[in-house]
Amino acid sequence: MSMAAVETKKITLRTADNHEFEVEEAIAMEFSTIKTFFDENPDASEDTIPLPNVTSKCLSAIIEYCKSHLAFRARETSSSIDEQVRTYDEEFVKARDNESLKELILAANYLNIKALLDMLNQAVADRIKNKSVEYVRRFFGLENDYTPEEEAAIRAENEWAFEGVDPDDD
Amino acid sequence: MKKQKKECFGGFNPFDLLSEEIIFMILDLLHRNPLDKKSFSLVCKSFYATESKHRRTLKPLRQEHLPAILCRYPNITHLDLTLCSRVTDASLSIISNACTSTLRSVDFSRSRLFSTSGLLGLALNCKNLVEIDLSNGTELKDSAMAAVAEAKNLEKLWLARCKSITDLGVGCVAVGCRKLRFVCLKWCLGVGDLGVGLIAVKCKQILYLDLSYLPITNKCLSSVLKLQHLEDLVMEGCFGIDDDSLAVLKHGCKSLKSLDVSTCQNITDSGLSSLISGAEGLQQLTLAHGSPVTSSLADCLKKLSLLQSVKLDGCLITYDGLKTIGNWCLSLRELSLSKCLGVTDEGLSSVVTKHKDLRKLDITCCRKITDVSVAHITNSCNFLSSLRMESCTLVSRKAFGLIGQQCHLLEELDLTDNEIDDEGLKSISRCSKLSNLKLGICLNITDEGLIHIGRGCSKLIELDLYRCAEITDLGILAIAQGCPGLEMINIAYCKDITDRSLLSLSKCSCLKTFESRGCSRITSLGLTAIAVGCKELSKLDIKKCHNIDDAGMLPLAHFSQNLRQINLSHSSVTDVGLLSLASISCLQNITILHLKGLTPSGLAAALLACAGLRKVKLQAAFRWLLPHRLFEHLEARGCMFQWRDKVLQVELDPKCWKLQLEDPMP
Repeated sequence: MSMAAVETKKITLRTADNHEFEVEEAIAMEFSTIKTFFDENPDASEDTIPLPNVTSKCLSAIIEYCKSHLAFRARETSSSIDEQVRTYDEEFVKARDNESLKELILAANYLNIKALLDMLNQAVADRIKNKSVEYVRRFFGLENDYTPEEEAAIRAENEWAFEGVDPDDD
Repeated sequence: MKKQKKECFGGFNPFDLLSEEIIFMILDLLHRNPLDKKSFSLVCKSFYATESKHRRTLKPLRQEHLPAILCRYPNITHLDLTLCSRVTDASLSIISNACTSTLRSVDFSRSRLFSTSGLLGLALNCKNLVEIDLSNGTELKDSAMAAVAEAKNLEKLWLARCKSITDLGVGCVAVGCRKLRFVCLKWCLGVGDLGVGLIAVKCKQILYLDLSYLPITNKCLSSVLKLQHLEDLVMEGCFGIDDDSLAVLKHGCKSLKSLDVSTCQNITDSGLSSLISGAEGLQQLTLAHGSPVTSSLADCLKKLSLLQSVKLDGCLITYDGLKTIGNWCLSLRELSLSKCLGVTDEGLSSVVTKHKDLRKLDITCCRKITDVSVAHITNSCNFLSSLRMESCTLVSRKAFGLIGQQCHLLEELDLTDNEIDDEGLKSISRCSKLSNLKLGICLNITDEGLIHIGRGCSKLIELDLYRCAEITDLGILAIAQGCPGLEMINIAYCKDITDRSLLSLSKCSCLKTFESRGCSRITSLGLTAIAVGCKELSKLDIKKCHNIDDAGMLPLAHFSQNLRQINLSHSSVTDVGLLSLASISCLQNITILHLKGLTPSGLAAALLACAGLRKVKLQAAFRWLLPHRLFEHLEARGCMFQWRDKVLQVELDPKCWKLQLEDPMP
């Protein structure tokens, strides 16, 4: 935890399901959306900020994440700290099912927390890479709206018309 | 909790709200396996639409597909046509109409049949074109260059091996493409001082210039060296440039950072001195296969205070030369003495003791060096990240222990054909950053050494165990378990390897290259495991694996959709197995010598079915057993044939084979 004995100001956030969260200013400033809001309205710090797009479950997870990462950053950078950050991120993602992962992405995007968003996107990519089309459908909860003929045509084009390599792979 | 969620979101899928921007970010992260994005497009229509907007690079397999896929992908910036051996002007017209404003870069380096009119359309329509690769365009004439000159925003132009273009064509380009920054004219034998001079005078932004093997003299050099932004100059094999012609140069090139005058036998220290005078910013110098490196040559490099990398491959080096290099005030970061004659313990030690900041050292085939040099290297250069010492056979086993003790930052280590043993590997396993380890023809290592490597080097990506005959499944198991990121492994002629090793390697999901020549104990079962587990498999060599048959090909056909290259020679695969590989669309390169189960008709069927083939190596006998028109048709489709008449060679005992290699040179 931070050694500085600064008076910690608290910001109140209200989630979509009407739960109120009191968070330290430092953590609230990790949410770029909120930071921008306060930069433009410095007097609004006493008000409760409504977050109609974020559930309480999401917000509490996000607050935990930001708290831990702030703590990591306060310590000196070293390879063992990097290792701990990596482990923390892995654990954060591991237990979550696909639904909550997606909700977190939406919330992280809405609150504009770049590091968290990148990490979550990577987690999604890791879960769907090397998997079948059907698995990806189930992951995103999407229905196959192709006719069999359409699907066969696209499959043929995918296989025989071009290679999917990107420049960095060459 | 779940009930709460449904109340908030009214029961519909929160993922519907995921913006295109986020999906783009996820797609960016799916770059390892090309099949992932293709699967993505098959999920549903909206994903298809998103993926179609996302893709920027396209590599079509045949020019016939261009209309359809350019329609599907409207945002292509980079078009790689290297798999389309035939690209006509009609295709170029389709491209210029489809990708008018988005296209930035096109690669034609393996394509033929297009001409000036096609290029003209492309240059005029695609206003944002900044890079064209026309290398290997041996039939391209000056008129084609006049067409290229219409691409006013061109910054990078690759013309290697365009033998038919002359100073006139290059002059057109110089006048038309004023924004050129990267130009390669390697092997353009029709281009001389006039053309190069025009480029140097008209294209003031030039950063990189490759003039290798051109018949140029000092006449164009004075203009070239006046370029204000030139950083990288390559003049390999420029025989027309010698000491006398260099002596008249008056201007130095202050911006120059990298100079390559390899194979310029007519440049000695006086010429080099003239060339680099004024080039105080020089960081990289390549003098490979040039004149002997004497103390006077080393002396003239002393004033280059920013010099970081020097490559002297293949040069004769004197002891005084090495000693002078050792006496420089600065420390190099990269030094290559690969295959240099005259490198002795004394000379090498005097260099490494002074150049403590060395990151890369290459002493391949410096056969005279002994433990003394290794001791000095390890003692002095603790920051080494790459050490190549293939065939330093006088170095004893004990010396390798020093490498692991002192050089912990090593990432690349080439110990091919050395005396290293398990104790040495135990020490090297302390280099936890090791990613590339070559132990080919290291006859003293056994499983014990590999077990150490498996424990210590978890970041290992490439491992070469070519002809390490003592290795068994135990060693490979240790590697597979300890190095999950393994991408390449070569276990050729490790006779004791069985399917157990392949089963364990199948857990290395990043494996791209698997070479197991002569491993006669492995069977189709092992290969199946690899096919199922290693979806990124791209290159497979199972030559002389007699126990692999058609049963191993079917799993490959089903699971290995990234397989580009395969060597099946001397295996038990027959017509059936070969034909099944036709379902792998990216299969381009096959070697199928001495397949007893291959018949002419089976071969014909397979060659016709494998639509993407570009290179096939096979028995010369088949040339006469099949209709000539068949090969004509396949060649027109872009496939090249290499005919071999090699008689089956009996396998020699490994040590006996190695002794043959060490016979004194004539």
